[in-house]
Amino acid sequence: MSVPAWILWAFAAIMLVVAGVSAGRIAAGLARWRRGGSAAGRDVDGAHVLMGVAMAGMLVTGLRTLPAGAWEVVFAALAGWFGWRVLSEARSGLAWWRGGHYLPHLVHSLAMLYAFLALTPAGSGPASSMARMGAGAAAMGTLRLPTLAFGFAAVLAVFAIWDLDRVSGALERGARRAAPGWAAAGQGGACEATFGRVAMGVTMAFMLVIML
Amino acid sequence: MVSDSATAGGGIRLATTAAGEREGPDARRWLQLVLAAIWLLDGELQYQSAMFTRAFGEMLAATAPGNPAAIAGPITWAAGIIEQHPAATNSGFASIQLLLGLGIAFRPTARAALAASIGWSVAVWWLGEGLGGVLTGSASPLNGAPGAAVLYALVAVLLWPRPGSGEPDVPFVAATAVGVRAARALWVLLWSSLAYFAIAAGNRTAQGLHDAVAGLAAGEPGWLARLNHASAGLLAGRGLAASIGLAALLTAIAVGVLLPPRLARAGVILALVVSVVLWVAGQDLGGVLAGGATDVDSGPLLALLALAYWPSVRGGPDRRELGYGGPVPGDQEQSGAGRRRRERAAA
Repeated sequence: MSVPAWILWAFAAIMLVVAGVSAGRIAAGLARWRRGGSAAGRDVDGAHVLMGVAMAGMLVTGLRTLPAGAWEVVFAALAGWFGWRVLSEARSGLAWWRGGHYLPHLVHSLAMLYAFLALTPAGSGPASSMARMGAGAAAMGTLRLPTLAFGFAAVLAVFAIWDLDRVSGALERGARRAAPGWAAAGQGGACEATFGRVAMGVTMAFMLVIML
Repeated sequence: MVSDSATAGGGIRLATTAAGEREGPDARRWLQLVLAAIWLLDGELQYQSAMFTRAFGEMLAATAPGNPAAIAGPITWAAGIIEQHPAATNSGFASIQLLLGLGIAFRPTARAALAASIGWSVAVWWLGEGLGGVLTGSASPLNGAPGAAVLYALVAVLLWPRPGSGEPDVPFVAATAVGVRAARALWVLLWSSLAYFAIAAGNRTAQGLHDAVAGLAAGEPGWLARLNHASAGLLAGRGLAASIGLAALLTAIAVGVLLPPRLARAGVILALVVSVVLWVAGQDLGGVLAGGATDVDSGPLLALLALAYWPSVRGGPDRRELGYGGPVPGDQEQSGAGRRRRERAAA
């Protein structure tokens, strides 16, 4: 027996919700931008949409969209983009441990790129036999270089935990200082995005570990 | 005044105070977050396909033989249920561990999650690990003695959030919740028990350690298998000497916490090194790369525990009252700089 299909579906559903919410944020950001506001930060939302859709497809066969080769190009481009943003943050004295926030996105992009590159060909893994049996589950195989998979999973877990601590700390402080004003200042959206990143990291680590 | 800032990318930056200092986690919270990350990883490992088979229940049942009937009975009973319903039970186990990790990281639920983790760890130690083989004579530092699960409980107790605000004046983080004497007693008990297990009958035979290390290589990636073979080669025929050497190291770590800060710090560093070596060369990273591991084994927990005993540079007076004699390196209040600062403040 492999991982029960309902668990894979549950994680895939979470990813689709994160992708949907991120798409909504992009739409809202575009509307603000047309009114002369800032469109900053939409790169992260865009990445969440792409990662959510890609992971849902990896977890559940029926949710596949693009071929693996196309996703590899997408995530290589995202890794390049976020790598540049991490360097820019570092140059302005905002490394991750000082409040910079692009490093987790870089790691997420690299982990996705690795997952697509290292995945054994479809048909050789146990999950594809599950798909053949009509279990409605994933076309998941195993990953080459399992040490790297575990390394990524560990780093993703650390980032998720760190994010959750920070966002809950910010929520606590916000609650102490009259939540409405805090939410109006844009913290509500920031929390939402951080929760999305936590869900993304946990699901990505889950995916890597079950393909070890 | 504290200020938060939403970032362009939707993340949340660390709060800053009016003085421009970051309001980051304190040392104890850092360690709690490491514990949370380990729980999260354990939860994800528990979702691996091998755990959803009857083999998982059979693996748990195999920890019962050799234990007293009162211990073995409930293990066999629990394993039987898991063998009958592997998907339902393992889904629950994995989800509980995942939620424990997330719960410890989420500040409003941290206390409840830590409490739940203590209960869960003790249950797993008994029903899943057969008390780590402590009563059967099979415990060894290489196989995670005294049982990885009980270390989770111990770490959670030592990192328990202290009521009220502010950090007490203690010589190391682990003393915050239970007090200095109790924390030291727990450290001595843990590491001296590991020393005892290192020279227990089954581990001090000429080939005992060699066989234990060589047996790990199957299914591991090439680099780890090569490390296993190399370590096993070094231990071949030298089981007794290696066991005695390991026991001596572990004893030195055990008593290190009772020594003055400089030596205590050396003891903690030694504990960290031994934890890492045991984890990599003796436990193969908990076997996670070979598939089918339910947790990361005891190495990371021992290292986390060691960090909780890192002698602090704070709390000068208490350290001397509690047996840490003389000026402490890094304690500026005892140094010329500290003295000059006090004199300037007085002026």
